Amino acid sequence: MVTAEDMLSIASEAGRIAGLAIRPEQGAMIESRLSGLARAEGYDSVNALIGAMKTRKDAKLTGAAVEALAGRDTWFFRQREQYDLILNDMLPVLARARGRRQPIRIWSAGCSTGQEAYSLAMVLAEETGHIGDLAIEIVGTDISRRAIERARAGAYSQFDVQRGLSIHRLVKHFEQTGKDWRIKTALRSMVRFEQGNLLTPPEDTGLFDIILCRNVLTALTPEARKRVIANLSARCADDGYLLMGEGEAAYAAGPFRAVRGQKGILTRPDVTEMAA
Amino acid sequence: MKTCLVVDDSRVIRKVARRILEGLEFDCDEAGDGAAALDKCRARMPDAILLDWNMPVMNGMDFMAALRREPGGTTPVVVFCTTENDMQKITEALRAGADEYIMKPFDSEILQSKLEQAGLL
Repeated sequence: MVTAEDMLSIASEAGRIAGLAIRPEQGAMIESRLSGLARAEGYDSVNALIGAMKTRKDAKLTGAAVEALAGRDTWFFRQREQYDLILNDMLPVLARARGRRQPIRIWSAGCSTGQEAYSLAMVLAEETGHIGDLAIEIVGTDISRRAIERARAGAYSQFDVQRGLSIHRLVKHFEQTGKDWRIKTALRSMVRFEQGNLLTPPEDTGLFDIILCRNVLTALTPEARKRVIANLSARCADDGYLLMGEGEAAYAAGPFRAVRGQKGILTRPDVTEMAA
Repeated sequence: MKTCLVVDDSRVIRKVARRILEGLEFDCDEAGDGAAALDKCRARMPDAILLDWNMPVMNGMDFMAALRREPGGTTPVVVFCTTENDMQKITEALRAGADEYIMKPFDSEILQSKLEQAGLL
């Protein structure tokens, strides 16, 4: 059982490092998410892990704990309708604007274990009609090193591959490796994963045409949300799109504007074109 | 209300599936093997069939082949739900006409997701 004092201490670190808003009633969630880390680090309980965090003042251990707390549930083709919009509405508009000279860049911001980025890769790999031979770059980032390692491996459990994924796509894009299912090499090569904190000002890695930051901001403090939106805005092309989770669009008001009739789709305030 | 026939020789699995499906507003019926399921389909063709692979009397693959030859038998969405969890078996079922495939064990979230994939929700 995590004590109230420990809750406060962890919440403070999670807020400072990752902008996470942890509420007092989330003790069970904290215990559940830290139990894996405790085992991996050789502690016999979550309390022992927390004790070590406090006494050792080990930034690496604290960082790993915050990463574990930042983990979020995700699945293939979550908010499925947004993938259709990317394919049918956004990419044709961007293709006209970019021509063949430069790749269209897509960022899965807060990608967790990679299902969102790989869902995009599947859609693009299957599609030839609308986008032809466009060069498309997909980048996934997440604060959690463990999540990024899992995303890079592209190996998912039987449970994971049955959430949101059709059996036809499983057969087409995965290979069975023992009990797990692994994304085929060709699809894995379409996506690059990097560890990154959305609170940190962006490095100069160029602008993105489509940014997906979905179901990430709801877990953050109001101040952290503002910082993340500012960082996303700094990396979004002037004619780019921001895709958010249900109920999250209001967080981005200012640098972005919600597209009427399209849940969670935002553009820059002065962009008028959406659909082809 | 959509109809679903749950075909499995395990009473427990039929009960669990039925409870989930009724929660998703399906009108459910049950059969313990392929032959009994075929009789039920001849009487009333369901919108969907949740189908086990290994069953006595008539297994899932034989049932599906017979179903697809029946008048109106190409209409039901057939979702295999089985412990046959390797790629070869999945491919075999899809080639034989299955629409979706659930690898056991499953839960309500997986069943709902698969029914969505199959266009039933």
